[in-house]
Amino acid sequence: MQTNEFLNWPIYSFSKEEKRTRLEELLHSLTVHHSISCNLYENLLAARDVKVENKLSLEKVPFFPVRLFKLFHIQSINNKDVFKVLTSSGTTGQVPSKIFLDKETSNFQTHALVKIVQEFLGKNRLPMLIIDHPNVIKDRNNFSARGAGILGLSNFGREHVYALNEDMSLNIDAVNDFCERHKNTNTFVFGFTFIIWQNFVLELERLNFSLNLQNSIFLHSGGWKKLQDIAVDNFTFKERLNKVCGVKKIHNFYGMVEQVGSIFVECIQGYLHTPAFAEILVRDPLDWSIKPNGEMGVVQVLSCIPKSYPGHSLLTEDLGTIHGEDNCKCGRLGKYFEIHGRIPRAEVRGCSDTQVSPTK
Amino acid sequence: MSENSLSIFITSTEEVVLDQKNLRPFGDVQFLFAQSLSRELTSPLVARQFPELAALGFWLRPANLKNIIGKHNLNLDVNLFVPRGLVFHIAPSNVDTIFVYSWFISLLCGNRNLIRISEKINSQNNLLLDIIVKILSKPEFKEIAYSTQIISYGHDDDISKDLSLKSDVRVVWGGDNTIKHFRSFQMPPHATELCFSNKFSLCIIDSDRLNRLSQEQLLKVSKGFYNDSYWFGQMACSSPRLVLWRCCDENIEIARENFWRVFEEVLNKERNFFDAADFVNKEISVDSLAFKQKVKISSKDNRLTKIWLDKPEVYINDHCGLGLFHESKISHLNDLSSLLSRSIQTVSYFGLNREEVFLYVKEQVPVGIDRFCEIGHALDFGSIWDGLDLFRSFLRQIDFK
Repeated sequence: MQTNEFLNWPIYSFSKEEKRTRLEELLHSLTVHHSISCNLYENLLAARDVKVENKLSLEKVPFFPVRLFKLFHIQSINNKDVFKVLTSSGTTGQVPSKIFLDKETSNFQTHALVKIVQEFLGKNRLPMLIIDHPNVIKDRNNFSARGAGILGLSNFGREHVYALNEDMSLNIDAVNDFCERHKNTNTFVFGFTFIIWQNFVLELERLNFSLNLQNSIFLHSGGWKKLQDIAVDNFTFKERLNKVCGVKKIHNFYGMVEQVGSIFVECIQGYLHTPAFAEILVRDPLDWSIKPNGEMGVVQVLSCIPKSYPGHSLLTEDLGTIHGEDNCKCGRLGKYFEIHGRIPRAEVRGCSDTQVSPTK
Repeated sequence: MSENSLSIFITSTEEVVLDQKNLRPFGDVQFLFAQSLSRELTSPLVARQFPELAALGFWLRPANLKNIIGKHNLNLDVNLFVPRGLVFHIAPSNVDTIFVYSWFISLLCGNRNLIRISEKINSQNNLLLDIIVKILSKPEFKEIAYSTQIISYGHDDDISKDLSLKSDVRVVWGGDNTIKHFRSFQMPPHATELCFSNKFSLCIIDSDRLNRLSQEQLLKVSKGFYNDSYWFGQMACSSPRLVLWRCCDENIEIARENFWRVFEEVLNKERNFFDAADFVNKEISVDSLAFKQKVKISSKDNRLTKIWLDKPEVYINDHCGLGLFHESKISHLNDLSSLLSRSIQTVSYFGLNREEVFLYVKEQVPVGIDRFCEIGHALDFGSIWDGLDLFRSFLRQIDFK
């Protein structure tokens, strides 16, 4: 099987068995590839006594925690083939993850993202409103996760307009102008979840202002933690957003820098969906066994895209629940799930400064 | 004292503590206080909820304290001992009761004490401090109250600087970064410092002798090992993180198999205190080592993970406790030497005897190891800690000829 064949797969139309067969095949070849090309990965497999010759079932594909990309340079290519290095600056200013891409994997990522986003936006580039300020992407050498997200998705839009000023206040003129100019066409709006809430929704409510974005599609990401802290759930978010601008198509998505390209987008039923070339498993932290549908556990993500680095099977630090497979009311096939947020206390335990002295 | 300092439990003010005279070493009032505190901490209501406080209360029994003092050869009729003066204690951020041991020995020795505790409030901390303040507000303990201040303040270097300059002894209960930080604050030229830095501990098991144990005896050793390791989630500096099997090949495999089989039975009967974050953190620790070194990982569920090392090594930075054991084999105690540094603290053991350990230390003059103890006793607090005699550290001896 060609390693890039997955780019031709229908995104949400493979049934369970069709998908499993294809994924296991591809993931197997990736596991073999990385075990040959990446020393660190080879050592890990040997330590776990994993025999790569045998094709492993989806659940048995070896995985390791995403945080290791912050601690090690993990790549399956020579330094001369490195085309781009993605980094994620953690929100608390910790050491960033470093993801090494060659041209091929970078292209895979771009194509994969295009295929998924087109499922929601259609094939044409739409006029795009970005709920952020223009300087977020100014420093090309120093991207935050926010900048990278915006830049990546900018390719799906045209005539980009930024909704916020540099001080994060609403640029009401720019936004009004955008709505007026495109009132008869479909538009695309993107922003980070918390920023949309705080700097767009709340601001419009404060100004007692409403816009006409009835024909738009909102894509947003960034996690719900900050909103959870102020007791705003997905339902409230959508309701209030709709109230201030009339938008009906609001899609959250889940993704990570360690597996760029395979994003999990929210359907109208409120569930995140796996695209054909990615998969999700939910594991019991006590023994990493697979949790049945409906039960919460630690999320593992699998993807056919990472070829320049062994990122095809990773354990996240998020908790999630798979709700079903192939039978979501929205009509898409594949697994559908929700993400509950970070594992509580998922910071590194004090090995350095908080060693415990005994008291018995 | 700057306005930012938060005197949570005002037993006294800094001015009073500074002006006070020292107490007598091993004075009656200190033992009476110990007794009062001991009674409160071992009362069923407290003990049931906070076994750590109960253990502390047990240690504080005057009989126990007098016994310990006796063992240290501190007869005041034979030698002249006086307190050192003002002792500044910096308690670690995450152990609740440790500061009391250190404070108490210092108090027994007659010193005045300024204890800085962590700002992290929890119910055990709160209760302990409530009890202490309650007892010290009684008129019979006025002397001790005037000699004590327990404070908590954020990262205020000015306070730390100020207090260090006024202290005769400074006690820093780790970790390494805190010690480094406090060392930048000057103390008076005559002052001394006790620092308890980050430590790593081992366990040595003699395979032959283990194989000769009955099931019942093996179970007892297992339970001891569990207590040593899983109390505090294996985060205590005395909990074993590397297990070394001593002897020849075939016996090791049999010993290991039996030991871990019985240990797993013990583990399964106990409650699990680890959460998802712990299991993920441990996976990171395990996989980090596996990336770098050729090792063998073995684990049935995440509560117990073992990593076999072909050659014994101390991987101090790739170990975060949480139910993880590095394992390897040695044929002789002398094989330890290449592993040692001042970071190695406790060697708990099964199947070693006094003679061979004494011979080893005398001949090899090891650069590490602060103590040897039998399995089951790794977490016992001792007044000789990290190679320091706490009593001698809090007393000064006046020589008379």
